[in-house]
Amino acid sequence: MPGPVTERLASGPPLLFDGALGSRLIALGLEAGRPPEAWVLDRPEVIEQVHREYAAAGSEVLASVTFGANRLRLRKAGLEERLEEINLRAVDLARRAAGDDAWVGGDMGPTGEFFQPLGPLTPAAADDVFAEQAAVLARAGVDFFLLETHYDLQEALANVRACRRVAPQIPVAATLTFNRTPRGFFTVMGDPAAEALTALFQAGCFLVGANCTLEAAGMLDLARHLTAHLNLPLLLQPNAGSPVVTPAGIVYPQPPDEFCRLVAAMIPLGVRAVGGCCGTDAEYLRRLREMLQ
Amino acid sequence: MNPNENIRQAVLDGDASGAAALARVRLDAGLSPLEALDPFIAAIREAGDRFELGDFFLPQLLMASQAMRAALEVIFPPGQAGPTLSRGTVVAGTVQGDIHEIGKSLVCALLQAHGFTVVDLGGDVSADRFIEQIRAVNPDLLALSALLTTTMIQQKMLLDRLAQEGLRDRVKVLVGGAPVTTQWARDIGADGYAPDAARAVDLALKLVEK
Repeated sequence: MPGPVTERLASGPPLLFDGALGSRLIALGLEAGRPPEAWVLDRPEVIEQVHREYAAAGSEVLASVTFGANRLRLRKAGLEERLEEINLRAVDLARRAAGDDAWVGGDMGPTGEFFQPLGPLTPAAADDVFAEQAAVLARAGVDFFLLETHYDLQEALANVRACRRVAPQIPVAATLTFNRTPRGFFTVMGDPAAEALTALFQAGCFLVGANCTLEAAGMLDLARHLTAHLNLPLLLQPNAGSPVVTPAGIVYPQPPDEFCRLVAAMIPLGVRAVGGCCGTDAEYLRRLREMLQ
Repeated sequence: MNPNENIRQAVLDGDASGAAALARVRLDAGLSPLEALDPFIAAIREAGDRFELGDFFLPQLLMASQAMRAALEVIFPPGQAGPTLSRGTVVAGTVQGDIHEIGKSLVCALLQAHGFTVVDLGGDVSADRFIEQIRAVNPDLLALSALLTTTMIQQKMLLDRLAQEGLRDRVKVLVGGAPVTTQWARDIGADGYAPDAARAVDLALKLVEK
């Protein structure tokens, strides 16, 4: 193990995360509508291969394929009974690829339900759902919890608190997904970016930031906005462009050169960690590694 | 004050019971269902515009949609006996992974108002469920909505699925939703695309005449 990830973040070049898992697995044949977690059970060799591609490209953090491995999301896929098995095996697959060279982030995502009154979710139910998954990820030995693509600050905070309570010794990183509007960057629920990330940091995250939705140029603008206002340890993982739907499938059109140039421009602003979200693959990460060194 | 200002406020405030009561008032005043609906459509459009501007967010938009739906249910009661002579049967829904229903609900209400028998499957409808209903109802038209670029692809997948199941020739397919275009409809082999609810009705009428 390369030492605590929190120490690595504090010194040296920016910490390099990995690239897309979901869109990469779809490119490798994951059927639309099936959650990536299904392949943890059915095609573990493909998941491990994708992790290995990122490790070989220079990613220092590998995210486990557990983004949707909470009870509420697995229930929709008919995989609820296999929650423990999926989380344990997914972390093991990432760990095998990480070896002694990379950290394993135990990936966690939203429940997919809205809090009352918009939806059925209650704070107590959210806490139960996140605590259950966090406990299994902790048992699987993740190096830190990696909360991603949260679109509701309230839910993200519930996730952070559940992790801190269940496994206070394991650090937590959390990224929200922001939309750009004429009035600035907000979650779809209306949480303004700077305030929301400050709240996550104050809740005990060692790393906060944004992933998905924004392509690299939009994410660079978000980086400028955030670093002008705040001094937070930031992780930013943009998409490789905005998705274009073609009959052959969804295409992310931002080529690696452009993506990497824009992401590299975040570093002088003070961004501490970067990686890629939808549409990126090992080629993007390999070039990013080259540019950051 | 704009006479419909109270309707606008009720929808933008997400006041479902207020919107329903105001819809009732318009019907009681002798307006036709389509006339009664007009100011509600204007209000929900404003909610959509405000969302684009970052003035409204998902909670406000969902609340406005719920108020709109409450008004729609007063003006076009679901389960009400269809017209004696139906122009045709439509199975409609928003595709899997997409919960946006307001546009689809509007199209369904207008189709119903124009004499179609409508089976509205709601939002986040799986391909299996569409197939099951097509077999059960044997509709003339299938209307598929998708509001997200990431769920549009489900329209194509459903069309492929219909072909696989040998059902494609039994039903005309209309596609709609904010990111959908005529070119997309053509690319995926749909029978038609309409950019708004009124034109969806025109298209549906044309397709059943054929």
